[in-house]
Amino acid sequence: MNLTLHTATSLLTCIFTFPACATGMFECEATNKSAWLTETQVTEKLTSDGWQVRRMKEDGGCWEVYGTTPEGQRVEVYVHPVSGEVLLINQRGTILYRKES
Amino acid sequence: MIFKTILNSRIFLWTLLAIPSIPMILALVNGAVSEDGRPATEFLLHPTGEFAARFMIISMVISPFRLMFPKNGFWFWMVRRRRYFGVAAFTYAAFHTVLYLIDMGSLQAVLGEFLAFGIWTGWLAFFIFVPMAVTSNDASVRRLGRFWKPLQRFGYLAAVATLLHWMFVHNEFGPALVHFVPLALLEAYRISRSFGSGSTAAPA
Repeated sequence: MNLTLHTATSLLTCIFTFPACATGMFECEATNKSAWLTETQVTEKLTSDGWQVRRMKEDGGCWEVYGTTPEGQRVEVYVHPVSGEVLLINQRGTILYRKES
Repeated sequence: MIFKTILNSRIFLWTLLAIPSIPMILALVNGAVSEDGRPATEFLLHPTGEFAARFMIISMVISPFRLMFPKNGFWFWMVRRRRYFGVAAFTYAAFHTVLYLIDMGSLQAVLGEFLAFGIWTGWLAFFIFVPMAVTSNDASVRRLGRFWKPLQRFGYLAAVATLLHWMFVHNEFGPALVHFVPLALLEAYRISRSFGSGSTAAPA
């Protein structure tokens, strides 16, 4: 294998393995679905803390909320589905906060 | 004969490149709202960016495909129209950027997240697109002479920036990679062809 081809292959390998170490995906601990907060409850909790909530979906066993922080930053937030605790704040690919487990 | 004239006319190609924007513009004009309650300025962010990336990728795969199929008439036809795809990519990227600015709503909000990884990579790609698009006319090609091609090569940097922007702004790698892996493979093929054989250099 010549040098250029080798470089090209390493670049490709990098592209493929990169996601594994850099993904912003987040997983919540296993919870019983019946104990989950409703969307309304999550919205109320965050709103009372000064957040703005645009919409949310389920992701990795958490509520993934799209909204704005009290400081006005547009973010995606992973919220514990039962306690409503903020676990991860992701601003457009930059992690602003991650709860230490 | 007429068919061929239409196929080779500029208007035909511009129309073809503009077609994806028609439903987008209609949604914007009609103030459409998505199922999950997002306004057009927000839900159009994705398709405008996606088409910018697609046209950029198309403009970049033409040369490797031409190298792969030197006798194929279609790729020869495409080589002569590569700049159109580049300009289309820029136009969709500009549309994407304007929607983003409207969606953010204030300069403060825009600057506040400028340094987020998924954002500055997008701005970088867009700022590279601007001089490339501005110099995509015959007069500029003539005036810039041998400097034209090096300028257009910044497109490779824009491609990497676009890929990172897409992956990190979405926190999802699949859809971006589906678009960019073929480009990476074709570029790898071109690199191996132009340096590996040591004989004929690839037409850039």
